[in-house]
Amino acid sequence: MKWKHVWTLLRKDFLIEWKEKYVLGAIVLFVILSSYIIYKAFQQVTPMSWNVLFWIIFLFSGLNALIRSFSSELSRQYLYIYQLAHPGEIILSKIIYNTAVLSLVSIILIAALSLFTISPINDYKLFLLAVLLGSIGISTCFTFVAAVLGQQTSQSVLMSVLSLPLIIPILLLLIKITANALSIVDDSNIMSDLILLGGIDLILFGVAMIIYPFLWRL
Amino acid sequence: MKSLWWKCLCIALLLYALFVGMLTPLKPGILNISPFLVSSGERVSMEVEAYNVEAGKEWQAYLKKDSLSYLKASAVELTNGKFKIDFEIPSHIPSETSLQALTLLITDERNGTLVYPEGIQLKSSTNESTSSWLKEGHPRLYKKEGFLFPYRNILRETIRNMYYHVPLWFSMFILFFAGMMCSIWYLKTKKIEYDHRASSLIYSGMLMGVLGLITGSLWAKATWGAYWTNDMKLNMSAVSMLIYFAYAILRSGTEDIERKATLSSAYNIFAFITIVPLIFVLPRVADSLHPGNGGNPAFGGEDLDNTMRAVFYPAIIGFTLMGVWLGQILLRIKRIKEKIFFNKIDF
Amino acid sequence: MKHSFCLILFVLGTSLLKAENGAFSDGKLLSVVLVFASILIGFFIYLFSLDRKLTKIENQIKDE
Repeated sequence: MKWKHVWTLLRKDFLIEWKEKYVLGAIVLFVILSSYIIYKAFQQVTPMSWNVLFWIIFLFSGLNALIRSFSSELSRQYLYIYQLAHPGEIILSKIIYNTAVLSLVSIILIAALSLFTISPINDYKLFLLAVLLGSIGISTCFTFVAAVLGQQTSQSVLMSVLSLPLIIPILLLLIKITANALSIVDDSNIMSDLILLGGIDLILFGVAMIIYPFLWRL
Repeated sequence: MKSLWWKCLCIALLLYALFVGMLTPLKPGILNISPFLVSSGERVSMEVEAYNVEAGKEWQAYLKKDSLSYLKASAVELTNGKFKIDFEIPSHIPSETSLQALTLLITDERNGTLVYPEGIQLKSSTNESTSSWLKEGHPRLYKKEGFLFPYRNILRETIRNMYYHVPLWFSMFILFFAGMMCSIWYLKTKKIEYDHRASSLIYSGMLMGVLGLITGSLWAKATWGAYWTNDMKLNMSAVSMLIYFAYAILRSGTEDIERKATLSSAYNIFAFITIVPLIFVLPRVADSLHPGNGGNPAFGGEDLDNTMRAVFYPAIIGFTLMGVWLGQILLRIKRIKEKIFFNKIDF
Repeated sequence: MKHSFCLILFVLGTSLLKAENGAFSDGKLLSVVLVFASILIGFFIYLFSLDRKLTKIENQIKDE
């Protein structure tokens, strides 16, 4: 495994994304639209519901964005890339790329929700740290499931069914941590939750890296 | 006959769990007390409904605040399974708070000690407090000997569910773990046999999990008062069942045998890895009604005494073997199916 | 003959329920019985599904 390869693959992904601007635009529009719907549907948003709504929109826009991470490329192009790179490098670059996309989504979402409703975040450092750790975990799960499904025809149906139960533990932890960042609850022991979340991320990441080489040739 | 011994063991263990678990009587206990609110300086006469008591030799009753403060009853009388206990509560009580929870202890040489933990509220009218009630030394508390299950206040007879509900989760976890090992082995060797083994084990583990949910909700109705509670452990196990249902959907949604095997093996390993924090780590983050969480006493201490262990551990082994057995039958069906598919069988 | 057997079982069962009334009304023993019954029913449903699978295979063998 070489970092140079990972870097090249990452650059390739970003370049493709940059060329097909409509995908990025669609994700941004999805986020803004759902924030707007919430603004219209909820007359008054409390910090508690803000917290949950944030994660739900985050989840579904992330699902929308990441669903194509393995099916977007043509299979021939795939074969070519697989000739050149180690499978571990491919999944690593995908996970990093998807984490970046999810972080971008979350920043846009924070801005859009704050613009339309309220901005209840008190502890930005904790909130952003939680979002980053959550992005890593969720993107690892989504990327792995997308890799499992690969080029299957029923992919979009199965994707949500397979990936949503997997991220529930991460999501529950995230909601608890961000509730702290919004000062809804006050838990002095939040550090252990962050460490637990980081641990889950690390384990999922490790398992995805180990298993993917068995999957990629299918 | 060689492969039959563990099936016979399974049957024997399950029958043992059924008969010993159902037929062993409980120790005597207290069903309810009236009145449960007493105030200092008054003379109260309590009606206590007892469970499973036999005629005693010499009954004694105590109100206990902590291990240093006991108050002895002036008179204890048992008629028709009901106690009538008189207490003369002094005006000076060893407490600074105006409301103090007390434990009622009724003891006898033949029946052992009946406990009603923190079931009596003591209201103090005066602000004076003494340091201790204890004057006559520690009361003698008897223990009922013999092979009997402990009596727990809200659980009562449902303490027996311990042998039929909890082992289901243990066996589910063992079966899922074995399934994951088979999946790993499949990815290593690419022999379809291991995928059959993994999926059979997973399916029988799912049966155990679903039964665990159903039995759990029946037990919850009897003790917590509702079929479905917001309990963390309960919801986490429901989620873990969802993950494995997704596994089943993935398997039925893929046509090609080898592809199905590889994809589901990979998903299975990943799923098990996410189950581990789901079941063990997260309930410790949030509160749970289950023993061992959120301030509830864990297994091990008083809840699982030696008589219960003698049934509980065999039940775990019995249910696990049952799961393996059910999985094995499914596995054999799959093998035959495969042989028919490849026309390897002579009819 | 069959009916009388069922009747005996029914009478035995109800008398048992009545005799142990304390355990069933105060002691919540019914919950334990329900739990065990649901486990048995679960195993039976599983066996039925296996049975159906085997019947399918048998039919397949007959066809060829």
